[in-house]
Formats: sequence, C-alpha cells, structure tokens
Amino acid sequence: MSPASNAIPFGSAAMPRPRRTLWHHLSGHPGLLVGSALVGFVVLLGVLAPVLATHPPQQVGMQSRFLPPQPGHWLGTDHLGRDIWSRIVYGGQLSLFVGVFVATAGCAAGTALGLIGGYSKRYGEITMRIIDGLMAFPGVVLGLALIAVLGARLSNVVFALSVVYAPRIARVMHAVVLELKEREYTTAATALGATGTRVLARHVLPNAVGPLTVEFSFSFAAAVVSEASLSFLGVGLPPGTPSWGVVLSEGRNYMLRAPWITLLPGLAIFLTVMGLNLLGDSMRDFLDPRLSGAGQMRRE
Amino acid sequence: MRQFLFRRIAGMLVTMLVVASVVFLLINVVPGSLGAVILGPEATDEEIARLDHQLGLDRPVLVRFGAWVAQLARGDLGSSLLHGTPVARELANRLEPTILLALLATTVAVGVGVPLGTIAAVRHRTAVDVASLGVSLIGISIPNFWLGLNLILLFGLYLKLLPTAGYTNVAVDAGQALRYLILPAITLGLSNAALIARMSRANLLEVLRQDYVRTARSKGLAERSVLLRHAVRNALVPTVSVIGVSIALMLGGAVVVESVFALPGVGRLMIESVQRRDFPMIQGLVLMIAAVVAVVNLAVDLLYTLLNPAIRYA
Amino acid sequence: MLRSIGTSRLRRVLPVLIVALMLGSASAVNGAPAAPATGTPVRGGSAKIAMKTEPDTLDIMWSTSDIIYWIAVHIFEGLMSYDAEWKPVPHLASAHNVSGDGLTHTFTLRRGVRFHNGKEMTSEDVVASLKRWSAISPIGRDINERTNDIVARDRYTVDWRLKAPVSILPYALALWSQAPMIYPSEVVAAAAPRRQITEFIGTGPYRFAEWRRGQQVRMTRYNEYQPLSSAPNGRAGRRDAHLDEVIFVFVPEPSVRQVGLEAGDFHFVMEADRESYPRYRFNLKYKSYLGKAGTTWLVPNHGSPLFNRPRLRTAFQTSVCADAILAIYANPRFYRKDPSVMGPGKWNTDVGREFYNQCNTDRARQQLREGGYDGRPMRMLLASTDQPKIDIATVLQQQLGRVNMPMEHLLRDASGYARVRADRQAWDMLITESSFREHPVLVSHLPANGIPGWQNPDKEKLVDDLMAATNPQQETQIWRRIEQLWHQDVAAVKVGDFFAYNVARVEFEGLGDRPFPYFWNSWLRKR
Repeated sequence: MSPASNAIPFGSAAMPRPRRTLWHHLSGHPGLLVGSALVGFVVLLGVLAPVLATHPPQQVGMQSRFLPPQPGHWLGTDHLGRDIWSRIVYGGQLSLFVGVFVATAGCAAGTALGLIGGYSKRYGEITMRIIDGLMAFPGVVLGLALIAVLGARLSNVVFALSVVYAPRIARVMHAVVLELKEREYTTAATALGATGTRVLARHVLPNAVGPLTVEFSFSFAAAVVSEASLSFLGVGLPPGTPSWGVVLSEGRNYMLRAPWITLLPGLAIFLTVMGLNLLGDSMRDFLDPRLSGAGQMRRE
Repeated sequence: MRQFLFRRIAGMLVTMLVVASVVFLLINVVPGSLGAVILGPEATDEEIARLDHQLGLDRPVLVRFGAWVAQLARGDLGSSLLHGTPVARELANRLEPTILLALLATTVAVGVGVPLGTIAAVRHRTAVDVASLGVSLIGISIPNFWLGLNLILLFGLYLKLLPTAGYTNVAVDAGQALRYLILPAITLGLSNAALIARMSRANLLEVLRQDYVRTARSKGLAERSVLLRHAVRNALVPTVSVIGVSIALMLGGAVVVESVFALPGVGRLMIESVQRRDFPMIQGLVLMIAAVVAVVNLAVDLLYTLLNPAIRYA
Repeated sequence: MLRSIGTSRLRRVLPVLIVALMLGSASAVNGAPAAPATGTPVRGGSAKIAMKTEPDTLDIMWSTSDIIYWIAVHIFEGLMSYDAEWKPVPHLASAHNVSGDGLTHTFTLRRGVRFHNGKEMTSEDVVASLKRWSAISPIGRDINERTNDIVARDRYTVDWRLKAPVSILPYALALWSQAPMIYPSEVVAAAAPRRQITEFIGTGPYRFAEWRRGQQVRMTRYNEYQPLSSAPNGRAGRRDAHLDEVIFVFVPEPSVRQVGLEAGDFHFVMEADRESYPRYRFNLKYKSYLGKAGTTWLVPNHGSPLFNRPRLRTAFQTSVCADAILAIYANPRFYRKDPSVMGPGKWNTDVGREFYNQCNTDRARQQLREGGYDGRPMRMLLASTDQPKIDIATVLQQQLGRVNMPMEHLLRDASGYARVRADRQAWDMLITESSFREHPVLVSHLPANGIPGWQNPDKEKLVDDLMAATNPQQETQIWRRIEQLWHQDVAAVKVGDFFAYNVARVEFEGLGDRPFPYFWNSWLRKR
C-alpha cells in the first residue's frame, strides 16, 4: 500500500539506472523462476483445493477443537475444530481472488486515470490532485474507514482495496504516459497529424503494458497483505470465511494455547507475497533492465 | 524556487480539502448511530434518537459539513463527540508514542537498510549481494502484524528481555518508554529497512559506474576512500527521498503495530475513532495525517533540491 | 398506580438489576472457594490490571457497560452495598429506614466522609447525585416516576419520598452497573444534563490520578479514606486500600495480555482466554478466578418476516444443540447447562426441560415443512468486534445446515448494529449474553416491546399478576406458567449459563471470594 513506489516517477531522471547484472545474464532470471514457482504453487493449491482439502473448510467439529498437527488433521484444528490445512488451501483460493480482482480493478481504473492525467493537462491537474488526496492517507486507514462503513463483506473488501490501489497505480501510469509521450515515435506520430486519442491508443498504451504488468504483480501482493491486515483489525472478510487473514485473526486469540493456528496462515501469506514481489521485480528487470533491483515494491 | 514552494503549498491545501471532503462524506453517508455507541447496548431506540439529535447527528450531511468547514476556517478542529474534549488536545496527547515510534523505526530502517544495501553493492554479483537481496525481499514480504506477534512471543515470553505491550510516557520514565518501543520499532522498521536497502544498493551501483568514481579510482585512491568519500555520499541523495516516504508510510503501519503492542498512539486512536464513528476525531486525524504526509513530501523535495543541485524546479 | 405506569415500563426498561445473585459467590476456579486472605496484608506496591477494552468514561452512572464499573467502583461509593448474601446494607449511609406505609425511605449519612477533593459529603451531594441518576438511568427513571421528591432533611439525612411503595429501591441503590453512586454536587452541576461528568471525584478507597487515553487509568490510595469498621462481607463492610496504586492497562490483543501476565508486566488479566485455563491451572505462579457471569440467548426477532411465524420459531428451537455451542466456553467449569430462564435459586424451574437442548433434526425439518418454510436465509445480526458471538453463530450455522436453513451474517460495527437492530424487518436473529437477573420482570427478553418483541396477551396478564403477587408460593406458580409460555412461544432460546475467566499472578493476594474483580482488600505479596 505504500506510496513508496510512486515517490519517484517511473523512469524519471531521478531513477537510478544500475547496469544489468552479470549474474542475471549468466543464470537467466532466477527471480522470475522462483517467483513463478511460488505463485504457481499457490495457484495450483487454490485450483486443486477441492481435491487437496481433507475436510470441508467450514466444517465445525466441537469434539475436535485445538487438535495439534496429527494424521487426519495434519496441520491441526482451530477453536471450532475446523481443519487448518483445508482452510489454508481454500484460503489460497480466496486470497488469489481478492488479489487478482483488486489488481485488475486497480490497474483498469489506474490506467484510465493515468491516461486522462497524461493526456489532458487540464483534467490531469484535477485528477492528480484528487489522487494526491486519496494517497495522502495510508492505505490501511482508507481501507479501514471504507469497510467499517460499508460492512465486512467480500465484495466490500475487494472494492475498498481497489479504491486504495487505483490511485497508486494511476500515479505510476501517469508518469509512464508522460514519459512515453515525449518519446520520438510519439512526437513523430503527433507531428504527422495523429489525434491525441490515436496516439494514446496506438503508441502510448501498448508501451505501457510492461510497467502495468509489474504494477499488477505488486498490487496483487499488496492486496493479499492488506486483506490479512484488515481481517486482523477486525474489518476484513466476515469471520468464519476461510481466508488466510481470517484464520490468522481468529487464531491469534489462542496463540499461547495453539500456536500452529497462526503460524501456517502467516507463512502462507508471507510466501505468496514474496513470490509475487519476486515475480514483479524480475519482470521489471526483464522488461527494463535499467531498473534492476531499484527497490520499487509496494508493501503494506 | 519561491514560486515552486507557493505552488506546492497551494497544492497541499487543495489536497487536504479533498481528503477532508472525501472522508467526511464517506463516513457520514452510511447509516449508523453514535448515540448507540455512547449509550451502550441496553439503550432504547428512543434514547438513542434523542442523543443523536442532541449531538446534531440528525442534521443533513451537507449542513454538518458546512458547519465543520466554517469551524475549521477559524482554526478549530472541534470536539470529540464521544469525550467532549477538544480534538486538538486528544491528538496532541496521542502524538508522543507515534512520533517516537516513527523516529525509532526510521532509525532501524536506515541503520539496517543503508549498510545492507551498501555491502550488497560493494560485493556486487557475489553471494553477499544475493543474500542481501533475499533478506530485503523477506523483510518486504512479511506481514508486520504477524511479525509483531511472533516478536512478542519470542522476546516477551520466551526470552523475557523486553516488556510485551503498553507504554510509559517519556516524561515519566524515558528508559522504560524506550524499552516499550523497541519491539514495535523493529516490527515497523524492518520492512522499510528492506526498501531502503534495495534503494541504496541500486543507487550505489549507479554511482559506482559514474565517470568521477572511475576517475577517482584511476587516480589510485584507495578503494575504501573512493567508496566513502565519493560513492556512498552521492548514492545517499536519492535514498533520502525513500527515507522521507517511509516516514509517511509508517503512519499506516502504525495503525496495525500500535494495535498489536497496545501503544496509545495516533494509529490506535484512528481505529477507535473509526469503530465508534467519532466524526470530528476522524476528521482531525485524517487532516493531521494528510498534513504530515504532505509536509514530509515537501521537505523531501526541498532536501533533494539542496543535495542535488542538478535538479531545478520550474 | 404502580401497576398502571409500572409494569410495562418496569419490564421494558429495567435492565441489569442485581447481578449474579443466584450464583452465590464466584470463587477461585482451582479448588475450593479460597479463604479471603491467604496471607497477611502487605501495604504498598502498584498492581497492574490488563483489560481488553477502554471505557469511554468513568462516569459510573452513565451506562451499564461493565468495563466502566470495573474501574470506577474503586473511586466512587454508593449509599448501599451488597453483602455476601446479596442483601443491600448501608455503606455511605449509616442507616436505612422505611416508613410504615413504605412511602418514605430515610437514609442517614455517615459523618466525616470526605470526597477526594477534601470536601465533606453531605445530603446536598447525595440529593444532587441521586436526582441525576434518576434522570439518566433507566431504572432510576422508572423509580423516579413513582417518586414525589428526594429531599435533604438536614445535613446528614436524606428522604426518598415515593408515590407508591418501591421495594427494590435499596437493591437499586446498591447496584454497580449504572450505579447511583455519590458525586460532589458541584461535579453534578457542571455536567450538562445528558452528558458525562468530566471530573472523577468520589469517596472511595482509591482516588483517580490520571487517564492516559489509549493507555491506562491510574488511581492512587486515598489516604483520608474513612473505612467502615465492620468486617468485609461481600462488597459491604471495611475497604482497605493496601496497594499504593492500581493501574488499569488497556491491551486489545488477548494473547498479548496473557504474555504480559506471564512476563510479570501485569498482575491480573480480566477476561483471559478460557482455553488457556489448563496452562495456568496447575501452575503455582498463577491463580484462576471465575469472572463475570451471565446467560447466552439466541433471540429470534418476533417481528421479522421469518420468525413472526410461531411454527418456524419452534422448529428453530427444536434444531438447537446447546451442547455443541457451549463447548465454545472451553471447559465445563466456565459454563452450565440449565433449561431455566432464571439462574439457580428461588426462580429456577424445570419447566423448560423438554424444550431445551433438543437437537432434533428430523422433528425440526418436519416443523419447518409444517410452518411453510420457503428456504429463505436466516439473517443473523452480529457486531463485528464480538468474536464469541460470531463463533456461536458459526456453530449454529452448521446446526441449521442440517435442517436446510441457510444463515446470512449481518455483520456491523457497533453503531451500525444498533441501527439495524432498530429496524425490525431487517434481521431475524441476534445473540445476547445477558447478566443474571434478580427477578423475572427484569429479564430483558420478557416484555412485548423488548428485543424479541414477544407478544402474548396471556403472558401480559400473568406478568401483571406476578407484579401484584405477595406470597412466594403464588409467585412461583405464576412464574412457572409464564416460563411455560416463554418456551412455547420461543421468546428466546437458551444456550446456557457462562462465566468469564480471570487470571492473577499468585503474589496478588486477597482476591478470594468475589464475582466481579475489585482490588481493595487485596495486596501484592513481596517476592
């Protein structure tokens, strides 16, 4: 959720441009490999959830509460006797859904706003002011306020997080559009009489796809963490929902009695977010080697 | 320069007005009753309605917004609906732990981040480099509430080195206040340390490639001197902006971290106020946070200009 | 007179009167009720109490919220106090007398009792405080309707003059929840009519020192405190402030509260996780106590499109398995299965036996069919911060799944919750954890305009009879008939009785025999 990635406009003069490292040349893109592997693993887990889960994720069993990891419940059970493994596997599905949806919605809205901003000076100024306004307060706070008001529901969480990330993506897209507009081919096209819309559609947008993919991946990662943070603060997904955030949030009351309940969803969030960050980072290297390792990740 | 400042400050004000309006409408449009919160669960519907009326909560949203803006124009943030005390005073009472937390966390972030990034850049393309990138990746990806809870278990319960939760004001016992802030500062600082490490590594790599470093090297200066006198100093310039941003970022992180460690700071006040819909308090908080973010951004820009004369703002 | 204004209002309004009465006294969980003193009192020290939630005010008259009085009873005192048998006995008063016609209650005040600001407490302060309480507390307002006036007869005598006898008056004056405690008259005058007081000045053994919002409330020993000479007896009798300071620290994270206890940062944890009982049970460094007691109810909304049909309410009642839900309270020490609407004691009956904990899926399905159930989801109203009730709803959801009644969570924050609750079409069920009541008319689910909206002319008639009844046998019989109707109409479905769980470090002594934790007459043993 951080504005960190937007402090320095994408590709601006302030951006450091280290050389592509030899290591990358030699071994291809290990980050890309590891990142894709982690994300792929989570996706697989989510997709195969119905097969992998040993119990229905919501199945309450009051006789089997707080079972430590053991055969039958190999990651243990929670305070209502629900199977942690099954909840984590199904939680992956939900986290992926939240992440993909928020990243998609954020990127769509962000791109539209960024294009408007980059295209029209007048509207751009207004849009950017509003975006600055929305970004002036921390994402958690904005999300918290939105959901406290709208009610804790999956659709509201997704909506609130999209509202949180769209401006951040818009900022980046704005900078990208501004830079692309100055490139020779764009100015050439304009000089040749192409309309602004045409220039945007033909020249700017296609070239923005690269940075957008990177943003997508970072927003995805941030959305996964944010969902968990909001659930932790009690304003995330409805209790009982098998999401990593909710499992962690409910389990934290029993950290002394049953530490396994919080350990595993925490790890799941951590690994997924790491995979996505790695993926985004390596993709950026791949698309624009000048920016290697520039530290532009988004985080909660 | 003056014009730049003027434009930035004007922009800041517009931004804050936008923030205030957005938040006001957001929180007021959706039904809910503060009267119910104040009077507790046993109150009757009629009592709740009476108190809501008394607090002026049954007036149209726009009327209330107008009244609030008028009040604000006089420099008055209003009073908490819940406690009846001036918002400005409540805010001031909560600032200490948050400011200290942000400063300490920044210290952790810079203290860990810059050396980590520097070593990585100096030992570029070695295992050290890869390891530092890995560490910073972990720092960025670990959810801070989870880290916080685990740190409490580790240091508070198993090692019994540090107090688990709570706070003592500096005026009462500065040493104790510090002890209370160590774990929260580590929790909040580590993720930013990761960002700063990545940033300073990249910057240093960039600088090391520059002509003047090559010149210095070719003059036969000791590598140590080249690094410290030329490279690191220059590489720190862009890092400053990340540090500035991370301070603003910490306000968001503070919401979660203060809740975990029971710190009586601004972040926790934010959660409480949102949950209880204490409108004037939320407005005041949002304005304050927006102002801090804006001022920090401005300061970073100015500092940047000072440190790097190559950049001039029109 | 009493019946015409009285009964319906009384039933509607009187919320928590005289709590935990029938429980007897709660006691240390491990082993027999502890003797009040396990050692010799030690003077000095500062006790840190970890609480989950910070109250909005310490104005003890303000609301029934228990977190207010857990702190505020150390600062303020009332005219009366409950003794160990839950009988009200004079506290700030030295005597309480009722006139032969029952219309005048005379309270003689103790002399030389000083507020924390040094001023002596006189009848002026008492009248001002009681009048404020009569205006803002629902019980107070109800009694006020039967009151002519509260007058200071002289500097140390107060008369409460009634229009009709109100036998519960001394009980009400001993309450802690939304309590009629005595403030200096100028503090009462300074507070706006419907706003909280801002200065916390009382007569109690501890004086308010500071409140750091979001952090802690600190109170220090009041050195000029005038304790009663009688031995401690329940909440009555002598109160000694052995500790120099009592500090209430607000720690929202449950596990962090307990880690703090184990690390020695706190001496007492209110509302610990019941699941951690085994962790402390046999550990000599800690001592476990039963905390707040109450009853868990599943309350169908009689006005909702789903549950305005009696047959569907009955079907719901039939489907509920109390056993499974009660397991949420972790350990049989923390809950009790009991079909009676009232707790143990005089009003306890077995009338509800056949309705309670039926857990009969087949019969419930059949009843749903007979009631013409159309498969619509049951809307369960929940406050988003109330994890225990959310857990109950989750277990219930599974039970309802067996009779093919889906459940929809209406999850709202505190203010949204009240707003939805006020709209009788918007929800079908909620869950309450109500405190124990002394008398059936005080049970909040009983009145027709109370929360379930239970309307039944026979019941109204019987309740009026109960109010008028004079002999105990008659009372019991009427109550049995009301309770029969209660279960037949499904006013609310009982899950069971429960206790909260408090844990202390073992060096915190003298906490023995008390259902609600308070910290006078207790001390920290030197280690």
